[in-house]
Amino acid sequence: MIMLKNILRIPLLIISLAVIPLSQADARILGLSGSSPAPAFNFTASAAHISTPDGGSLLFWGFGDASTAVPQYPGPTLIVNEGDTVTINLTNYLTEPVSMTFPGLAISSHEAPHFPMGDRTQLKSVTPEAAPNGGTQTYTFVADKAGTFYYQSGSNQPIQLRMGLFGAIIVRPIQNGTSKTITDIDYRFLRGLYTLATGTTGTGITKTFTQFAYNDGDGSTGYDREYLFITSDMDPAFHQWMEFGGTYDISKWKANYWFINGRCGPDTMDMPNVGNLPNQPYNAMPSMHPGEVLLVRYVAMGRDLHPFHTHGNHVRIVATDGNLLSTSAANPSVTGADLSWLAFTLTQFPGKTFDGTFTWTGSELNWDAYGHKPGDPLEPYEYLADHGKQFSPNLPPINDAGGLPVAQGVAPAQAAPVLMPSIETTIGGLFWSGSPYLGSSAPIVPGEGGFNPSNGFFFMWHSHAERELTNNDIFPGGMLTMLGVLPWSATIVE
Amino acid sequence: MRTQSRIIFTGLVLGLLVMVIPAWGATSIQVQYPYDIDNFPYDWISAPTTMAARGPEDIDWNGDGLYTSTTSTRFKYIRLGGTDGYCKMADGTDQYVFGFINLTGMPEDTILAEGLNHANIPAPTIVMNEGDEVYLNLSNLGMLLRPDLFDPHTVHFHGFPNASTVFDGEPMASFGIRPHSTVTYYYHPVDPGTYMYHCHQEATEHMEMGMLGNLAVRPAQNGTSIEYPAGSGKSYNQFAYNDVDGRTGYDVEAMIKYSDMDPIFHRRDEIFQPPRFAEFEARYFLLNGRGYPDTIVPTEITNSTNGYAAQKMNSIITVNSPAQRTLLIRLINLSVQHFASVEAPGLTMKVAAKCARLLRGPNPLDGTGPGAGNDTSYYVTSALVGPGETIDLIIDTDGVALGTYYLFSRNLDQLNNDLMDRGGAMTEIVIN
Repeated sequence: MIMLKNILRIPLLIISLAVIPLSQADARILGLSGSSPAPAFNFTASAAHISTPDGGSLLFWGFGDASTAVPQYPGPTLIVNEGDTVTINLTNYLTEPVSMTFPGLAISSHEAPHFPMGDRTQLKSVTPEAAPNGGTQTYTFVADKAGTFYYQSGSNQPIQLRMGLFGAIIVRPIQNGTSKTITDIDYRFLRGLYTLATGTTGTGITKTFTQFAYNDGDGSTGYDREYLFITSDMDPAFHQWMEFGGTYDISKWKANYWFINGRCGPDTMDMPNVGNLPNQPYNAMPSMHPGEVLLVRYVAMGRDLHPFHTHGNHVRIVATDGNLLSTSAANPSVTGADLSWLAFTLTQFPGKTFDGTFTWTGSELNWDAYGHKPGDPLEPYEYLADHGKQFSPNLPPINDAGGLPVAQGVAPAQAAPVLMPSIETTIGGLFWSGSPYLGSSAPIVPGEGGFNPSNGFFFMWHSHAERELTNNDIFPGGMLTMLGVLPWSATIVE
Repeated sequence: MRTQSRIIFTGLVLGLLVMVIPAWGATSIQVQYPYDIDNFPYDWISAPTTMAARGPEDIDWNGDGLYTSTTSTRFKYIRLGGTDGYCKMADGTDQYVFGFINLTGMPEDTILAEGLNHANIPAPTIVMNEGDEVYLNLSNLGMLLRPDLFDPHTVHFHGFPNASTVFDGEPMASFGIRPHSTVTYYYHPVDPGTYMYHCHQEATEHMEMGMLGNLAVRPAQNGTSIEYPAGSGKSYNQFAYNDVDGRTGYDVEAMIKYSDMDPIFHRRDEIFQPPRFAEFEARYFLLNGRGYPDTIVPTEITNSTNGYAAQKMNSIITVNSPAQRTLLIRLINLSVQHFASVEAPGLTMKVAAKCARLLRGPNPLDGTGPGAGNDTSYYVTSALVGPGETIDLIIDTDGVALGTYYLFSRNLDQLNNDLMDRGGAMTEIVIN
């Protein structure tokens, strides 16, 4: 971190990180809901600028809520219920026609032909367009199935989608509110839940949910918390050309900014609705307690493919494009998400949505992740077999000083598999508590850490095309955020 | 000219180091080994130096792609060094790299002499058995050519489920280890599969510079004889996963890691310039750190700049039929930018697993464990693997005409070594 080449960047990083709250970032899915069964939304399409953590400012086009008329990158997330008839009244303040399409959902106003025979200059949207400079248009779709979807402009898409005219749609299933009990068999949660603090081990553990991603029939898409990950990318040269003119070869488009929910890292970890990011209201910093199940909704709105890697555990992919991964779509109550798969890296490709479930308990580390002594009380969902594990019953591991243990930090010998390196030999990160144990802290190098007051475990969730961890040549940043697994004693503010 | 200035420059730096090394000698590099390996306490002073005495580490010591896993103990120890070095591309040019070197069992007073500036490309392959307890010591040896960087290093076991932060090697949530210091990582692999490891410190730079390695965990099912398909008369005793029915059984195993290099990026690091991520443009496309035809050179490849054989691993895949029939390819992508779509004309590939998980759905209707659930594996002509992804391909060579086949990236711009054509991400599968 402290390379000569980075010294100049440190002030920038500090500035961009200074506004990050102390780890329990609010990241629930924010959006507009309206009232069932016929929610109506008034949208605008207009231009503004986004900010990037390196100090950049880029022109974008965005949809916004007409009550504020502030364009957003991405547009407002629509959260509606299955069966709703959704109406959007769009006013277009841009200088070219704009329309809205809802891929995967049935539109009620289709315009054809969208590609008049023999006239290649007249490619238009499949939906009616709102005229430039104040024209209006009304769109209606029926949210006829639950899932994760998106809306986007259907007009001049190579330009308008690069410029940011898109947003997410969440359709909540009618199954919500019912209670489903799922049995954690066959590694459904990948060693997440199958050993609970109740003392039962092995398969057969159950968990009851009342909110779900889909009408799965069996609770296989149930969750405790949900988070949205809209990924996108920008070539700054394209946006400068759109704003200032000059020459630009769109075939040379090359992304150098990467976003989650419209922000580059580390702004992804800032609070939502902050004043310094007026057009980027959504953040992306998931938090959970051990054993809770997250629903992760991915919406890929960028031009490129982005392999999204989740440190900490695999994600079980239960749906794609709003379709439950089931062998019997006609009768999902029989099968649930039985074609689901587990991914530690999931490639986001343009126009795709995925839904996945995630959990973490730290099972089978073969050491007690809480640093318990035998007989200490159990944490919820703690892996029983490792509880208070005496790692080295004879002696702690030897070291170069001739076999005598060197006390470093607060590593209690009953649980740590190895001695921690002395802090002078390490450079710690902002989310490092100094302790290997969840809920504990230990001395760290002065000046380090500070973003983990509840002593959680933080796991980076990021694009594994590692060039995408930069903000226009400056590392770190880009398509990056952190998942906080916080001890049950810590409150997660949502 | 370029090589000459490089040597002069290296000499300068070496001269500086001679003055510095005695001070390092006084610095203790703490290494931890478990007590009960071979029933005697281990420390670096008494670490034996011969292979036979070294103990049961599962590591590809000489880069021939073979690693012994015949050990009876579940305790394993590995020592890696993090440093810089050079490797040679198939067009003859040398590239300045960062990387890992295997220091396991090496006497402490030889570590700097043996390790410094001797990064291996790729990093030493690590193969573990399900249920092992692995102590991995990472010693940061520093960079011979870039002492100004004093970069920390980490080891990140990519894809390990239910990870802790302290041993995850992601330095924002934990820490990196400074030069001339050692950190011990502990792993308890319980989920078999194909993984990867890499340095996560300043990940974009350190990964592009070469700190990338293959990693696999062998299943507990190994050693059991299972006939697959049932009634076929063909039995296996080694498997990629605990599949119960033998569907991931194989006779021949290959690990292939796709990555690429931007020579300008590497050159800038070599000549003390900041890295340029924005202008990154890969020009070398590598399988296990080599471009074709070097991928099929059986021997180590020695670079011209420091004379070290950094590229120990070839990518030759040989199936000796009829005794050997089924080939498992563990395909890993650790590029910092590019997807690879891999095909092998003439052979049929089955994607048996992705992301170190057998492609089999959960089955909510019964509770019979991993043997239940829908089979979600599928056959492909071309297999897409993205950065940070792994897939396990199974090729049944039964009935296939004997001869040489090619495994290559169908992404057409990945089939050259900079300006040299007929190269890049390609290797041979020889069926005898």
